[in-house]
Amino acid sequence: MTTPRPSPVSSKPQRERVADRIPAVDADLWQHVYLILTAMVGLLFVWTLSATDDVSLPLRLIFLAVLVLTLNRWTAAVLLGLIQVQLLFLEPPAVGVIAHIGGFLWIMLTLLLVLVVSRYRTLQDRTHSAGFAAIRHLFGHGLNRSRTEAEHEWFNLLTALKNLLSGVLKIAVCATVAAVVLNAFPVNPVPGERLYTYREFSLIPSGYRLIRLSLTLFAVFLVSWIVINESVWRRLSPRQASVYLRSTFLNWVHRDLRMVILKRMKIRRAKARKVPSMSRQDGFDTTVAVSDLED
Amino acid sequence: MTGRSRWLTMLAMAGVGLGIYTNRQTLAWLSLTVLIWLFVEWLSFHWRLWFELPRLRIVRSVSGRREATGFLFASRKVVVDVRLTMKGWQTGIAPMLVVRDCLPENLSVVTGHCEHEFLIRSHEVWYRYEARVCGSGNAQLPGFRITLQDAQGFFVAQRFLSVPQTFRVLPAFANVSDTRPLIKRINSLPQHGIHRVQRAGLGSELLELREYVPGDPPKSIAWKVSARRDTLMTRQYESEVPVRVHLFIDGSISSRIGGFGCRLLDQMMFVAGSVARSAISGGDPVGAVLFDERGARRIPPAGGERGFYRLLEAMSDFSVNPPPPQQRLSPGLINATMRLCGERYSELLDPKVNQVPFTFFPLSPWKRSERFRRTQIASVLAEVYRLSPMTLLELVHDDNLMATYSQRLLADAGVSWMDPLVRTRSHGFHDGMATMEMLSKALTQAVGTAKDNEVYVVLANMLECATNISYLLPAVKVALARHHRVIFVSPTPTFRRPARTSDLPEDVTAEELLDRAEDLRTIELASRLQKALRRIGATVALSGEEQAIRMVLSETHMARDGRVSLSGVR
Repeated sequence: MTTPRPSPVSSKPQRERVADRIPAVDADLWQHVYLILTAMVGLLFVWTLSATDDVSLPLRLIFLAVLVLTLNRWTAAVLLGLIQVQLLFLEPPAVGVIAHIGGFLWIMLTLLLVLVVSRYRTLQDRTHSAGFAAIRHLFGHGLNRSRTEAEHEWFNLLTALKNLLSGVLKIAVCATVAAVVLNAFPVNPVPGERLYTYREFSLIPSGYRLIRLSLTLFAVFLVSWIVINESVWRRLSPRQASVYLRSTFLNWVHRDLRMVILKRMKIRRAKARKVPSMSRQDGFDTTVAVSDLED
Repeated sequence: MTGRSRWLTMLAMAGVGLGIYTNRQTLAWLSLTVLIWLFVEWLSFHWRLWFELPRLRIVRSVSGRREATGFLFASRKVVVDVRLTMKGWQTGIAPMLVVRDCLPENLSVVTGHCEHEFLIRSHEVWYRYEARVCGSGNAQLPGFRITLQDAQGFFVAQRFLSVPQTFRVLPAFANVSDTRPLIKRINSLPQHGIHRVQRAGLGSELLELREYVPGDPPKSIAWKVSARRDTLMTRQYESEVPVRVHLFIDGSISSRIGGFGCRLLDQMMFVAGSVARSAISGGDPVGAVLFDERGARRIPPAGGERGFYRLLEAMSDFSVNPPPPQQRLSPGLINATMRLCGERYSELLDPKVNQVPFTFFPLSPWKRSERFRRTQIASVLAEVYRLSPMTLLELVHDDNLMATYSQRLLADAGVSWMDPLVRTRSHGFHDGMATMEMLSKALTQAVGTAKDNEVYVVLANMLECATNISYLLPAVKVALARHHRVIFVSPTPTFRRPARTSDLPEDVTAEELLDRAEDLRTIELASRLQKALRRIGATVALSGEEQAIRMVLSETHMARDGRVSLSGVR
């Protein structure tokens, strides 16, 4: 049974009373919510696969296995990789403008699956509780809940879903932008524009499209990376700046300084070897200690 | 960037390439959406990292105190309140953020969590936990380790927010109520040469009867005697002569090894604090001689609350571990230093800032990564201790220097004297001999400056010094010959009194055998020690428990009465 975590409290009595009334956000419960969502979205995704006739039963089973394993062992990257492989081999080639709602929904569903699985794993890393514990909680807890516990769970369910909604909106915007970007680089140019052909560049049109898109995306990334990097450098703390200066200086003169230091150490060791053995009054020989230090 | 986002990026890039090249529209669309999504998350993460996080303000109050310094008592609980706010930011603290109060080893969390995670955006958050102070010395709370992450776990960054608070931890003490002598009063007579200071005062013992003088309190008139003599007679009582108690506390290396609260020194401090509390409550002044490898420090005997707290403060300062003895550089030491650097100086370990010079050697990847870590640690150490680039490079190549600075960093961070900071097996015979010499000197000096019958309580790791007890015996004999009381309290590392237990059971594990061997060794040393000290008339207690405190206090009572005790082991 998951016990609710202590709610944030303040030292002031008034604040304590207010904090007691507000149910606390519980990472364990959020994990359970994401587990349910993963199961639901996963089943929906498998159902979309089975809707098409060309997907065989073993492939569907493989997807299910991957989905289950992703919950406990793998990351969402494996899931995405498998979906991409499936698309690469089973999707028919097509050229034209991307503007169909079915594709958009399917992409949303796929990325929602990646999102919930990623969030579930992130929370699992934080709480260190296994998926089986969550399942046990969901089924074992049953209806024997007090009113406070029910309020607590309901609050967490709502906040988790609210939090998820912003993520879904972000994905929707990204999918729209991706569609716009892909449509901006058509395989067949619009009338009036020259067609760069295989003869001119030794490239097939799709290859040419790929290069143009890659260069554009890289330019966008480069500009934002430069802007962020510049702002980061200007926000370094004095300590970071000091470490940077010291390590950069060391980079420049590393070879020379290293030779000097190694030589010094060699001389120091030679001197230490020459220390005569001194016998103490208590009968202990200090040469033992010197040789220990040399090692 | 985490491994998860790296894999997703690679897959998305490959998917975009293949999708466009082979005209798979959905594949290209899906992959490009992932790529753009990651890019948006990256931008939003950097925004939070560089613009929102610097506005986070954390205030910590320990038992209601927000000041940078203060004092606490060992073995007591403290309530820590942490308040987080965003300065001048209306949107609040963005998730996902994990804030952890970096506690020193001297504090252990009892209830609640010192870590708090934000899953939703909040404007102001308070959280509370209870911690127990383990041992005397000091407790430094350096600040908070902040882990910033996006909800999907694509990006993660760790920062340290400095909120330093340093507390002096005074030793724990028990209020021992019943301190009556354990031996029968009738059988104890003052020895020859023991002189009691007999002065008129307000004690309980009758000193003499004298003629009534106007002004004497009527209740002191002895009516029966007055009737017999036909003149008013007054009872004159003895003055309660205070007995000076001298505490000799050993702070040598062997007594400092172990976790806070488990050190022999902590047991000694508990006994010393309790003895001082009870003695001062009874009106006896208490002084101390604190000695270790650095020398001896004498605290003159003083009474009253002020004297007691002055003594506790001196004992607290003495309990702070000094720079540890030099050790060889070990992988454990490097790992511990790296962990500490990762916790408290994570921003200085960023490869963009902390650059490592390229070298061809060493060739093996394992050694290369080891050299990389060591160079990064050296850079952090150079920054913390303001070292030159030359010394920085020396740290990379010189093991002894690296070990020294690593130990210093760990010791400054309040790490206890255990592996890998100090190796427990490397100290033995020499330390015991040095302790005996130092104790002998301190005892002789104390006897030289003593005024009356005084009580000397020696709190030292006597079991370790048992083989060298002959160094100490002359000083003890001198003290006893001057009619002072000498009591030895030697706590044991296992918190158990060495006893001759029954034979081992048939099926024993290797660990039990080792424990048994250690017990036998302790019993052997203890019996040798008892024989040597009992022969000359000193008292020995081989524990750091309440019984040892009672024994010391009963000896103090007897010293006050001028009676003799059956010297020996309690």
